[in-house]
Amino acid sequence: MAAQAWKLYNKAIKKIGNGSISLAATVFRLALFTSASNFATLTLSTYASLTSEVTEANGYSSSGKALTGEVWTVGASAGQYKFDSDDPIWTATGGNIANIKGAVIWLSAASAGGRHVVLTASLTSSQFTLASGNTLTIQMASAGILTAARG
Amino acid sequence: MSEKFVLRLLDANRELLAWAEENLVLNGARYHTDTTRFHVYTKGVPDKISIEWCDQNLVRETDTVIATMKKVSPGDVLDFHWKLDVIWDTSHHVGTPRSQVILPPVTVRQSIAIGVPSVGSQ
Repeated sequence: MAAQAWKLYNKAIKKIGNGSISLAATVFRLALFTSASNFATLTLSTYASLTSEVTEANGYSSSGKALTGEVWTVGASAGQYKFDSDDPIWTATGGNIANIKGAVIWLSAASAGGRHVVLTASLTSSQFTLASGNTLTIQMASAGILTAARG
Repeated sequence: MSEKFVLRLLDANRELLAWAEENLVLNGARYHTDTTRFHVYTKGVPDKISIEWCDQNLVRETDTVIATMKKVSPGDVLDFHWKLDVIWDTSHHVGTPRSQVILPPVTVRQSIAIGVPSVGSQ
């Protein structure tokens, strides 16, 4: 189940710079996508442009799960700060959660235009289904989701 | 460094009867053999076995070794002896690109945690 590192969407970098995305916000969500999805296309801009999210059923809700515990804390040295969150957990209940391949962290907002995609990661080299009664935990690294460093 | 392979036991309709994961250390251009144990969880008649080389996004399938197999049932245990052919050496990639093969997703029957490295760490 080797996952690839989180990647920032191209426009998310710009939006972080111009303030459209605030990484001090605590309204991020993490959604799961199938292998048929375009989640790995780094030119995407908003949540609405994503395709083939994991089907809402059996413990997975459309639009994913709210991230909790978003925080900026000191990183590996005093010149580094990391953006981190709690590890989201899904439990397959009453059936399987099918066709899991990738994840996207996006900014929740009232309007579709404000729902910016921020980061994406491929969770596995081979799409999988989580059998009923089991949990899937997305573990954020000890270095957090991303680190800002003095260089 | 090990390479991950996902093996699927499929019926004629490409339904998944069983699957297994192997992490093998490649040894140059030499043949590598291994035995994979399948725990069947869906009844059916095996038709072929697909071997997905995950890191290379390649798939090869074989039906010769299971031509004589009969119906399997949940709980059955099957051992598949296979050989990593020289043409799957890292310098000679032969196989069908994963994107061109329809494979059923494997079903994970235990709780799992997937660690995602931070931005820029890979």
